[in-house]
Amino acid sequence: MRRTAARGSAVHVRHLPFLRALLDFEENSPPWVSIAAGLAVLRLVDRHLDAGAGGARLDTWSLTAARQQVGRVDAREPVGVVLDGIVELLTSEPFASGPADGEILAARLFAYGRALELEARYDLAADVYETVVRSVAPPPVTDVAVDAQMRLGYCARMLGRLDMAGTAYSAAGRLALVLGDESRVIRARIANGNLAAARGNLPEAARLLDDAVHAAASPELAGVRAVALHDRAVVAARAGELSRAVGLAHEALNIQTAPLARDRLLTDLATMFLDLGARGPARDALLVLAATAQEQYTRWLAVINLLELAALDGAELVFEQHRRELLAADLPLELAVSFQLTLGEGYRRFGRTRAARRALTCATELAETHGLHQLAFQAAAALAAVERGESLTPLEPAVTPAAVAPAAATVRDLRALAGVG
Amino acid sequence: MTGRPIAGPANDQPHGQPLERETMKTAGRQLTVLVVDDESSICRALSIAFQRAGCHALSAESGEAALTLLSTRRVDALVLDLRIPDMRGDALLHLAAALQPHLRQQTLFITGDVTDRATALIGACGAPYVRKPFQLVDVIETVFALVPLGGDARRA
Repeated sequence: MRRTAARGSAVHVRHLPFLRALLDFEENSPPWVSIAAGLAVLRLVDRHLDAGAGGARLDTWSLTAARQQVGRVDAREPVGVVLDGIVELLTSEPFASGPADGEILAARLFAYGRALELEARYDLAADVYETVVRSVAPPPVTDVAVDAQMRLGYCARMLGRLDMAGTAYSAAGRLALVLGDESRVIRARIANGNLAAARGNLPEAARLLDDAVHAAASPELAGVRAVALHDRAVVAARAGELSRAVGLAHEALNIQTAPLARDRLLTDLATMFLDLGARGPARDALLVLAATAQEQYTRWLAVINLLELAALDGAELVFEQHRRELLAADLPLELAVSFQLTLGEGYRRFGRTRAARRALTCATELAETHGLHQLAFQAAAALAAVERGESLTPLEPAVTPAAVAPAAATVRDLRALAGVG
Repeated sequence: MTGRPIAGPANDQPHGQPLERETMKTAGRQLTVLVVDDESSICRALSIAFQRAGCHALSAESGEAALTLLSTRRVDALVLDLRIPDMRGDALLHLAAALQPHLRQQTLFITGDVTDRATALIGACGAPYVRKPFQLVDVIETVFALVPLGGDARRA
């Protein structure tokens, strides 16, 4: 039966981001096929959810259409695998007979949303998370609904829709409260704090994050407390309160046990030390990262930063040692450009103009060829400075401010534990 | 396919002392196991246990951290808590299997949730599970049983 919208009423078109995205690509191109498959599966999910408690079988035509669309997606694409799993679920019992366990379907839809996020399709992912929330509409409240609201908030932030992000984070906090999940309540508060920072409202961000730190006082919430302290430290650094930032990051480091989170914390701590002029502790933190970080990317980034520190210190032998280490590495493009840029600036500081020109030219060409505009601009500016004969000199020996001595001692101990340097 | 609780072989292996064995390999490589649990003590204990059993062990205390690792490294087996802070374990498994399809068959859930709800969610993934508290040796033996050794780690 055809339905006509009442004159003057707003028509809500479901999955509008998918329809819009289809217009962006040539029909039957790989991205178009992937988006069309997602839309077909979401429409199948809609039919399943709209059937309500009464239950109704999905019609053969819709199923066949969705299967065909999913079958056209490149089998190596994570999105295709997840979509295939959703269709498989909807065609198996008890789903095939009508509405079944919403949480099981929601988990697969959530995975689809995250797979889209991996492709930076935040608009599509946000639409999928809205479908997740619909698929597990309360009562009862479930953890997957809270997680979907949190991801929806993140996607909205990535899209620059900060009001929408705030609404999603607040909804996540409310749902988590109903669920009695204290950790998720605090995570929602942290997200709102970071959102305030993104809006440039640093006092509000500091207030929300301080609240989160206090709320996570119990030992079983140590993980979330560490996250709150780390984010609070970043806000303090942005406000120019560098000693306070180091203190907060140090407190977070003492309780953070998750390896990747510790790596990020140490990276930020190194930057804070450097901004304070405390190059010794910054070097300790970077040496630990270069030796122990879980991700190769983080280890390489740490060595590039060590290369820069060696140039600032005027330590040419150490500079050469890091240069050789990086030359042997198969760096991803962005890091390769950063390496050449840092190398060029270093040579410039050591007065090796020809080598500086060579490295900076390489950085500029590489960045321009691959559309890395900001790096291309930085490299071109440095190259122009070389051509103008502007020199750089090593900095004076650095002094570590007394206020950050405890944090400096901790990273020194970490360096000794790692057996590096 | 339903979830299969692992009763575990009867043994008196104490906590923290898993089996010592020669390096576990699959297709000539050392086996890489990713442990995902927001309880750092469990992550640590399992990581040490898998290392002692000759594996390369990675750990993540959130879904986000697990995804970062899964996006960049091949993992032969996944040991996954159902309740993690930012993403439920069953959702993470679907995503992990999309990134590395063999993980659909090579994942073991660990859970302290004894409700029918948890059993149903795990059951819908078709993965085996062990209940907390568990014997480390049970987890290791189950994971070794899931991963085909000496050939292609990917199951048909």
